[in-house]
Amino acid sequence: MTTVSPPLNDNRSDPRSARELIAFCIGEQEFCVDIMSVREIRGWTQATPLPHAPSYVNGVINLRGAVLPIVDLAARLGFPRTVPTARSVIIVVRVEQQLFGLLVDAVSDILTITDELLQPTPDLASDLAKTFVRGVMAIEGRMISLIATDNVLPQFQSAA
Amino acid sequence: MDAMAEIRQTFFEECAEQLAELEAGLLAIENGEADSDTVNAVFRAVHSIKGGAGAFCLDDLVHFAHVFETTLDEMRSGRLDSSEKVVKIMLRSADALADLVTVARDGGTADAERNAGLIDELKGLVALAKGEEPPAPTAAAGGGASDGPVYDDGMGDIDFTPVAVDLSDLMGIGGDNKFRIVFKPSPRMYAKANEANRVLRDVYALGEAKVSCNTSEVPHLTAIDPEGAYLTFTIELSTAEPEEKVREVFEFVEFDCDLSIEAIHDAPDGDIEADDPDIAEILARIRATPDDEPTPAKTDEAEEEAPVAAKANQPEPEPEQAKAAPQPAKPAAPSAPAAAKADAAGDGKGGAGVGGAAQTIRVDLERVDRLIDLVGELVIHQVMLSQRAYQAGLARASDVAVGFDELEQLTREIQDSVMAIRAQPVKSVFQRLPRLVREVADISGKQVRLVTEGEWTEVDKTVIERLADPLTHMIRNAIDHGLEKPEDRLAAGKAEEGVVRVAAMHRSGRIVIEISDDGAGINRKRVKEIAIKKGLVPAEANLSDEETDNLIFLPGFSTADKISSLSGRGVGMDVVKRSIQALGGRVSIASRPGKGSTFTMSLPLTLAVLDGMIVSVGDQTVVVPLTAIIETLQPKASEVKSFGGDARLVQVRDTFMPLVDVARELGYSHELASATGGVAILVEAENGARSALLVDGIQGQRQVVIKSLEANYGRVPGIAAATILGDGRVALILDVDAVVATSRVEGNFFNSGMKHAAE
Repeated sequence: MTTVSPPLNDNRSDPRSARELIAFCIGEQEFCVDIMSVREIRGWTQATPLPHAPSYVNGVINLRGAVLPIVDLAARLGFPRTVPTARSVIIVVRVEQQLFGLLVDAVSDILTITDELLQPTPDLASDLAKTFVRGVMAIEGRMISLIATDNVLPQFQSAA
Repeated sequence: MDAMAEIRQTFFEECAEQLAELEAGLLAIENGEADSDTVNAVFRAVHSIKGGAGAFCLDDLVHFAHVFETTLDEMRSGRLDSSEKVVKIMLRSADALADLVTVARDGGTADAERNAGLIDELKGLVALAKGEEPPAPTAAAGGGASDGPVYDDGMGDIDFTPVAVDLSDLMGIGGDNKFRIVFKPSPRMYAKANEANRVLRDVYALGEAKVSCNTSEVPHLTAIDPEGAYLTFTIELSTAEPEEKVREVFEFVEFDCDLSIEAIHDAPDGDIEADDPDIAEILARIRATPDDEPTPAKTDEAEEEAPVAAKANQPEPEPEQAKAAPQPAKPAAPSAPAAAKADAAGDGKGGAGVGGAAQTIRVDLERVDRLIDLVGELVIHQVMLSQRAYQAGLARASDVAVGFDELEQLTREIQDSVMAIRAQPVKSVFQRLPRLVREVADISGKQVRLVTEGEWTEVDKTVIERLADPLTHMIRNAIDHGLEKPEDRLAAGKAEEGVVRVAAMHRSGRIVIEISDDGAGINRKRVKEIAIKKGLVPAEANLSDEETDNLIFLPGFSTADKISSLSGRGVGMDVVKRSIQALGGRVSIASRPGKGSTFTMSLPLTLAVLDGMIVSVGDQTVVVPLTAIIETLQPKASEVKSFGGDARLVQVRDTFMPLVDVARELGYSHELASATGGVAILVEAENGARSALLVDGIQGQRQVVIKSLEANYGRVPGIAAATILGDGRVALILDVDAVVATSRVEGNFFNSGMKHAAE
């Protein structure tokens, strides 16, 4: 881990310039993702469970005709599974060509930060968390972790 | 540059069409179905390729096409018999030509040695044809005497007299404007493949016309230049159209002829010299569609019929005649056949164009797909909307409900029509097969006849594209493994030539393609030995014939003793099977020892929609593809037998079949569902094995739009795809084969293969 985070998917981001992040809550903790990877934010709808899926995959929902897999971010980070309520939120993100939804408890803020604010993930974090957390930052006394969206979906070997 | 690239691309697209026509024509000749039209079509195809290639300076291609064309010309003029040997050489030349086109398009190198060999063979054929033909070249070239039987067209002594024709009975209504048109074509006009006949025909279309032809300039036959132009037409036209319209007719030829058009104000009268039946006939012929004028017949008629008729019908010594005269110095003189060809092609296409202008358009596939996606959304939303309306208490008999019904019908129709845009005949795949069969037959030293049926069967374009590979593989296998060597066939009392039959047909909403050979059939003993040797089945396995046959679909199975260049590289039928399964299809074998094998592929007509039965499994809604379902039943307690562990069997009439608890297989529930509380759906897996799927209930049956799970997620075992139901929720489409296979008892050797295929 270097002190400066690698550039995000958004190639336009100049390391010196401000970067916008969407912050959200899972339980008591706050996380954020780069706003450029977020396609939309929508309310919770009942997902259709997928057989043989990892426990952190809630299932799939219909996003205007597309089949959108939903990842329970809490479970993915090793926390207890989220029990979705009507107030839960799905953040639809795009990684390369794949679209998927992150199930979180609530969206809390939109942040504008520069890269100096981003600190490397502390060593005591679990391996699981380190895989998905690109760095942490302190904002107004809160700790917010930046999520690396690339690895959130389970990896599949490309179908032969 | 861009424009050039575009033209180039068009050229190659046309080349592909011409090559297909060439091959089809040659095959027709081989089967003895050839008439002069076929031979002409074949000749035209090669000629067009040559012409286009010349424009792009593709010298290799031009050279080969030229030699090929020369040989075809000998056939066309009847000097070369279309014997089997000749056609074989020509078919191989067609393959070589196709290769050259590919090389010209994609780069790379052609097999120069083979091409040189073929050129020699083609030249040999020409020499052969010439050898049988009394060499009359000097006579023709010298233009001395009209003694050669071919050259003497009987026109030497004809006195040409100008004829005027009254067309009032035959042609359209006259009008107020009268014109006198003097039209004298120059040789250039004919060289550009324009024809006086066509121009005159267009003039007739404008109104009432009288045409007289001044033939005073026509020289004696011995002095005639076959490509010259000697006639002057004087047309008295009475039409409702203005002068511009009349000029428009001559638009394409006005720089290649002497033309004067003057308006006249007195009614022309008394100019009619002849009103005889011959002329009526000629006029009829001039007006007739081009297809009604077989070119070769012209010369014959010219010899036998009334001289005037011949003259008027053939106002010019046409390139056709130039060709009829032997000119062995340049048997395929580019210019003469060029004109003839362009003419013929122009006629054909022109005719079609007039019949129904712009019958096809080329559309970017992406646009069509976008439209299909949108229509899919439309269908979903239409269903959603009406469901919501009924939930909100809409009365079934209300006007709005009637409107919904109509809307539904309309959206279905739109969907069907949009799907039909993508449908194409399987011909495009089938027409590649003859070449494949020839090549494989050559390499394997077997004699093979390919029979195709149902090539106009239509199926979605994606299916067609992905059909080519498995089909190729299966045909290779049929020839390489299925058919015996000629001597073995004779010994077995069969014809030396093996038959591979490929047939496509629609069957209950799917396309079925059968590949059958009349070879030895599957050697089950050997298949089993190999499978045991390779550890694919336990040595003590007790297999039915059918199970044995299906062993060849297992990964890593290959019966070939030696690795040939055709097949036997270990990527065998399992790859075929997987690619077919990926298309939502299945493949099965029927084999009779000594009689041959039949592989049957069954594929969905489209990859976009599917007819499914909507069932409840636990709290979830699942779609079972209708094609897999045989029947549904409610099992009685007495019919369900426990079969060790959690395995259960259900008795249907007098057979037992495994009862698969779908909720459990999909992980929706961990409890064993009560068999009597649900519905059993009898399904047939692609190996013919039947099972019963236990679900909680049946909701209905409908067509669903297939949505890929792979695009955003990945492959899910037991699930083929997803769809969106009327309530807007995603429902999963069951992969029946995979669910049945994974439910099988551990240790069953099929299990691993199936799992593998499902991954």
